[in-house]
Amino acid sequence: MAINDSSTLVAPFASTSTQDNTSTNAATPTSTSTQDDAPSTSTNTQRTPQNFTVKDGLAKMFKGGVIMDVVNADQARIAEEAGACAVMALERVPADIRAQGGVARMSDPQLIKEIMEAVTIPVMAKARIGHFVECQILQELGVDYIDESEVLTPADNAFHVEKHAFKTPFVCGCRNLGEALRRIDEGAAMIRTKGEAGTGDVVEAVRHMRTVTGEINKARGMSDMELRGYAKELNAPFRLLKETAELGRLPVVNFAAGGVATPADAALMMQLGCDGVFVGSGIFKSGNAAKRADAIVQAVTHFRDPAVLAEVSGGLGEAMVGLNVGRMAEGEKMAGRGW
Amino acid sequence: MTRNIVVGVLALQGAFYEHFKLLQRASPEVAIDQDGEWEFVEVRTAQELERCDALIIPGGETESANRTKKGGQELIGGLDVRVNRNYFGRQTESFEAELALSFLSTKDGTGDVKPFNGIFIRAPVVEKVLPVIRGEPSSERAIDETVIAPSPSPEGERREQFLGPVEVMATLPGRSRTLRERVGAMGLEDEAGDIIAVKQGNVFGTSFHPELTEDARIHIWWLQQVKGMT
Repeated sequence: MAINDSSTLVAPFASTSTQDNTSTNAATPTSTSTQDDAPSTSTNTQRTPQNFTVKDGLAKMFKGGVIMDVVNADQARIAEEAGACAVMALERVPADIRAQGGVARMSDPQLIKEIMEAVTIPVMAKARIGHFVECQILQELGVDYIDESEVLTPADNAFHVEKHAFKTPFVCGCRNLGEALRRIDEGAAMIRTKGEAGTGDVVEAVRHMRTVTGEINKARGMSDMELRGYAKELNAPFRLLKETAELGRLPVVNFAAGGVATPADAALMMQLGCDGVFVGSGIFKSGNAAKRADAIVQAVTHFRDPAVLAEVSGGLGEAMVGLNVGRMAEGEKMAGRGW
Repeated sequence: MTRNIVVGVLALQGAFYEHFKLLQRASPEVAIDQDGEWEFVEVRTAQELERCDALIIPGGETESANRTKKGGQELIGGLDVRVNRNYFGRQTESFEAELALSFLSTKDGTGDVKPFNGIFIRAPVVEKVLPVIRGEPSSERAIDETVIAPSPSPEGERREQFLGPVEVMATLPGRSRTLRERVGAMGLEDEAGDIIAVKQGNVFGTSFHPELTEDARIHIWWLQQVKGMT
């Protein structure tokens, strides 16, 4: 049998099947947070609405896809037509948040509703770190995913939102494995690298992905005793670290974000092992948004095929201008937000 | 003559790896005659598709890649059914339910079939089974916001084998009241429960995600169907 051993391929996280211990189903079920939160007692009825399986399941539907920042219904339609697997509804893309300064908050619910009405693909929206009331509002609006995001101004300087309590699934940013596992422990069903949003400079996304991968590689093959020590070092929950070490990857879907501006950037992040890509300012701050959107979708699908990458990279017009992260002051960076 | 059966999984977006894993688990249960082997491949290009005897199209937001939204998009078609996309609502309405799938029954038909954990994510249902026709189902044209996809159009010598009426393979009973009210307004025509799995000729479709479980029974059953038609 020929199975391509792709680094983007994912092992299952949350299997809650309790009734399939037949000889045809001999795989060992992974231990999951689902079992902690949602005892599988129901029959023929809906399980707890907080159930992790459907949260993680939607993230799995995004794999191999591109999630695009959009600020109005027209952009949302362009993104959908280009084949985006979801859109992120925002008032301002990160590049403008950077340029304009001030406090960046959850978007106007009216705008989010307009975008939800304009497209049939899932719609995500951002809440400030720790601002659980913004999350309650976004859940009430019916958005499909909430991004507790460092791109907005944090509302709490010590705590993140308790995410298991929500019906709506969450995606959160990370710079390293410890941060990723803390977010998953709080209930995030999807992780993305933080990168440095609104810069068009992919260097930080690469740094964060390499850090996560390196730390996972280090954890593989450790004994339980060593993992306990490493969990302390990373400030990560032991249970999730152990699961990660066994899987050899994060236990939830992991996208790249923060600085992806070209098809080549997107394919780079895929080859580094990401499951998919968020593109923020990169598309609608560029010359020909529709063409660039389409090209980045193609690049993520065919990320290991240089012929396709060469073809789709041509004639896209101007890329977003970009900021060199290396020349930025620490205080200007968004990635440091989050605890 | 020994010949492998090549099964492709469309690997554009979605949970294609999860399908692979279940196919690998399922294949030892479905022996091929004459020492042939199952071969599973990722399909991203027309050339890769060309090699395949059978294809799995992972569900979910893969649909976005096919531009299924109303207004000039391409649809794959292949089943004479009317589908209501995101019928249950948005992500907050996604759910799991234990399903009684009678087609998974044992060969001798004895014993109860263990329920299958159905995972429904922004799931569609088959709203109506349409009569078998050739070409475009013009009667459906008149319905607002309905997008028409091509009917099945098999070619070649085994054409007749692949044509036939749509069989309802599974339903989800116990529709909630809110859903009934909402759907009632849209002209629901069947109160017997929501249709969540159908088969027509050589095409099988479900509105739930068997690949998100650890249960390989649907994949085993499907490989048996593939074997029977190859």
